[in-house]
Amino acid sequence: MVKSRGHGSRWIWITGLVGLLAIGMAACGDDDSGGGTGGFTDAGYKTAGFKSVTVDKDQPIKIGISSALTGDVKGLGIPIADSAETAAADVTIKGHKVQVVREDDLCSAEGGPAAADRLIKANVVAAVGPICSGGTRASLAAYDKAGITHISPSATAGDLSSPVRPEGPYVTFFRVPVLNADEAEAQAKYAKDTLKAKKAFVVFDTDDYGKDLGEQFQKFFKAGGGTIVGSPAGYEKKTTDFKSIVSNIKAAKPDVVYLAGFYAEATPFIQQLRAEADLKSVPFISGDGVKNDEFLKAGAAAEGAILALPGAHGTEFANYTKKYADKFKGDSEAATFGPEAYDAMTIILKAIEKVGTDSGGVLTIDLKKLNDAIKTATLSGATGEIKFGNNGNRAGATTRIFKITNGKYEEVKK
Amino acid sequence: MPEIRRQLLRLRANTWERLPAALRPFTWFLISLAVLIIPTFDDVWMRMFFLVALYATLGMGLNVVVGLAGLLDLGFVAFFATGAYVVAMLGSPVSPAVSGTLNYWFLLPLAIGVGALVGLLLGLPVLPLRGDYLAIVTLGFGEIIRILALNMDNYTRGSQGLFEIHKPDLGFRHIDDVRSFYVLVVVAALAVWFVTSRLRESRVGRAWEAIREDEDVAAAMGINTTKYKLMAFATGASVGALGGAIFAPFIDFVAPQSFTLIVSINVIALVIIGGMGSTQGVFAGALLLIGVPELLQFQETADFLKHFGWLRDVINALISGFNTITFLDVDKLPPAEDWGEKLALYRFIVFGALLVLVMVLRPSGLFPSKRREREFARREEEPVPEGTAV
Amino acid sequence: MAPLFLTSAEFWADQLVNGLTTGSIYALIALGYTMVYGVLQLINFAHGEVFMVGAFAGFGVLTAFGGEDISGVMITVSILVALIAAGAASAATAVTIERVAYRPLRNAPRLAPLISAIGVSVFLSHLVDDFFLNGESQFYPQIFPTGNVSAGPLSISYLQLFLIGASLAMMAVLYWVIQRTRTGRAIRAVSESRDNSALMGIDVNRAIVITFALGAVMAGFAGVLYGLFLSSIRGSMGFIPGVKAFTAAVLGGIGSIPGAVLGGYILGFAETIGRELLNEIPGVNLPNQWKDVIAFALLVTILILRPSGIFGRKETKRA
Repeated sequence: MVKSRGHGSRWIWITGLVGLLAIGMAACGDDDSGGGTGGFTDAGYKTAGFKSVTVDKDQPIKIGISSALTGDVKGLGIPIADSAETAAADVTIKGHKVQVVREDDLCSAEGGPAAADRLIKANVVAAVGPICSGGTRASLAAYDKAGITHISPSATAGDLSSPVRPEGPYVTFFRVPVLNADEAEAQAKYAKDTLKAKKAFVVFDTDDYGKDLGEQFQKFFKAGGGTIVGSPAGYEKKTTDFKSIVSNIKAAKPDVVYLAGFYAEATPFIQQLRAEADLKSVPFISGDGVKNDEFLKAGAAAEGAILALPGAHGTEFANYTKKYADKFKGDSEAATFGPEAYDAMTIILKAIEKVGTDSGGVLTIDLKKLNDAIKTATLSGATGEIKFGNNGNRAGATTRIFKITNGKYEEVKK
Repeated sequence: MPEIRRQLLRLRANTWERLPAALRPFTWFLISLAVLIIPTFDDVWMRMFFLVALYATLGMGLNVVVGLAGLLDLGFVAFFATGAYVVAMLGSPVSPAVSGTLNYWFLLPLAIGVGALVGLLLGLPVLPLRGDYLAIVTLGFGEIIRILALNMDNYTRGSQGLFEIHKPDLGFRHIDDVRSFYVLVVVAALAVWFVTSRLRESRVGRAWEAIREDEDVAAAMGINTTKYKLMAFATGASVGALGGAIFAPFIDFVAPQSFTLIVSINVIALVIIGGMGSTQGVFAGALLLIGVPELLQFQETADFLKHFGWLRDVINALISGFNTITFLDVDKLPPAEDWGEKLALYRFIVFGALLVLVMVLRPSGLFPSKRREREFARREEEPVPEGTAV
Repeated sequence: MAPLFLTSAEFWADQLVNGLTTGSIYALIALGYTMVYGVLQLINFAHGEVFMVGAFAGFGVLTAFGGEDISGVMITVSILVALIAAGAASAATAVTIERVAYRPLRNAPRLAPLISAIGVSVFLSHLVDDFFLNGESQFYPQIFPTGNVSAGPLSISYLQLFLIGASLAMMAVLYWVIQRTRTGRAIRAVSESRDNSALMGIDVNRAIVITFALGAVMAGFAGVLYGLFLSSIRGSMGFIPGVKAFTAAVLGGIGSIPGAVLGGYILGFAETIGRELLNEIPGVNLPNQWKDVIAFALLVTILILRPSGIFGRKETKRA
């Protein structure tokens, strides 16, 4: 034992020294960027590592999609990725095909930057995504550093566009969806004006989406003269037992029950709510996280539920629906944030068309110019007129209201 | 079953026991080479290596608790989260609890200290009790820490998380990219390796192993079992906190979603599958359980798997033949380049099966420490009589 | 802050019923933990997954009977068949687990079977979630007749009444099996001393297998009741109820059957009523998840004050 100990410790020291050496080398070594088709050249920009990309003759232009392809949120993520891909299908820009690169961001803070790294490595010129607020926040810096402009179809948390850092907001970040605040305002307005509700009970998912949306709803509902009864009830993802919350709702006797969260929990919630005789007919309002075909699995309990969905049908919508149905056999109505993803991709494609310069079959795309083109882009898309206002947020947007009637979503005219 | 088992045991006696010993200097050579070569990879690979090194560090910490002292800690994520939150709450400008941020090099030791303190506070009431209870209490505690972080918005911002965390600065180099963080975590791993291997060979380490073997006998030999168990627990906890303190500025978004039970399962699985009590085992386990699932999602893997399109065609032909004969509808295989991602998706199924298999066939792990392996081998031959304190 | 009108008698009666329902499910699962611990001194970590398998077996049966379209007398029939199927599926699962993952380790060091149990638990929950369901939840058809039985402030739905009644009946049957039958006597003997029972001519392996099966049947029933009550089921659904039920078993004194039942109800009440009581304190608003914190705090308190639980036998310390 003594002998082997001496033996072991010598090796520990040697390895330690070698390790230190390696660290020294790594610390001094320069970052090498990957090769692949075409290449990056530094155009000399100071902010956000904008570079210039060349796409060789007969090589495709690569555009990334970062979405949740596995896990709990893939019910949202896969249709989003499919919709974005729909927009890029069969598109040719100056003789180059468009190749879509999908990466799974798991809708998580770990997955977001990992997917961003993989996309950057794959030499994409721009990306659609990430789809969730947490993953977006964690990957803002990665995209910025690489100078890759990305447009999220669905990250709705307010503070993404106003990060606390001396350099100010990230110039590479844009998003198409209506923000939580706008959605909550529309929901509160509907509750007060159409449902004539004075007392609301708020139930929310404690993740950043649900929490923000729930708080915004309370703010707007109170501002309009309503009161929040009982204490807003938080729950966590994968919760199935809402009985205790239902008892609280029953005691609070609200005119409307508001839920800010996702379909996976909203489905058992609505079933348990409706199982309570006193609460069989109290109006139920929720939002974009719930408006999904999965929620219809709640069957009779979901009947009459009101779901607000940000975004309107724009001029491109019919076109999107048809192409999406052809390519993915999907029902675009069920693809929440699908139109947003389609529009995000379209904006990117148009911008590349605008700034790409061709010389003998080799396409050069200056990423700074691409960023500028996206910033000033206007599009009459599947979700209406799109223009980016401050800090990459969409300027001016509407919210539609749906009601479940006979097991189907039907749009309500306000 | 018994026959397979006997064969496997013989295989181990012949191959496993001799091979690592003969290859030991060579193993270190390989490791040194890996440390030299890894930093030349690109960011996607570096992220994987960072995670492997981080989990190996966590594994070495848990190894002290599980492998050396024989205490089953199922809530290791609690200490990981503690370290991350100490750094995030005091080092992020968005932190609601404190205004202003502190230097990382001050926060790092603070996080380690707080981790040890939390370990002591949790261990104090529970460690004098029966070992089974420790498992369940730590499991619960891991979840509780996450629930607290999620709900104490006034301090942690709940699920909206803490970000823009103060990054470590070396004066000549600002640690803010994957490569630099890899270097940081490798330094941490080497430090932990050094400390734990010294501890193992010390009086303290021998006391831990005595407790693991037989607590009553250890107590009779004059070892203050509670004190040493607490020490082991606090050591493990501080390493967990160290890992968290490195993870926080790396991910730059500290939120409860990152601190789920999965982290605990990952760490305990890599310690056990790799080989309890052995440092090489921990590294091998981290590479196998953390590295491989990441690797499976890489473009390089997909490119490599594309070459197996023919295999898919063969298997699919067999499946359609089978379907025609049996009128069943067995799904065809997806394109070969997607196999890696599919496998990565199913990794927890494989983990679970591996845990059972390793316990049944190789209870000392794939790369066990010598001493530990001998103990397990002996135990298998001499059943412990029922009623004996184990 | 909880407004004062919440503190109506109806509200507390509601929460009392919620506690009783949750407690019934915990008690049913806790029985399996406590019995297995009794005979093997093993925390059967995979017991939560045995419960999950039961819930899915019941779901399969109800779906086969027509799902949401089941009506009339078929409701009773389908639920009965679902219960039987769930009991059988859970028992088969538990016996398989015992054979594959525990029996080869019966004489191994204490950590080995515990780790093996965790492996089974991870394997089964992810097999269902990642492989079969792709991470989606399934929903029990809402076929149970709705309506309430009221008495003063107390109002209890048919479903909750059925759930509480059925679990009490099942526990009574189990108690009879353990106390009055020959098999039950064998199980009790084995939990006193495995070696001595073997010397007395008891087939120890058989007794152990039956113990696993009996506990699993209870967990399978609990799975169906859970599904009928809360609707949403998934592969990882067994984890939290499993941990809670184990907590309940420890509360009552692990190894003791009446203890597990009592522990289950205490925990059910502590979670629902305990949290609401704390919310009555001005300025306190604990979200739903805090019930887990309360359960955990209760466990640690009990372990410190009375390590052997309420009905537990005084045991010598084990490492």
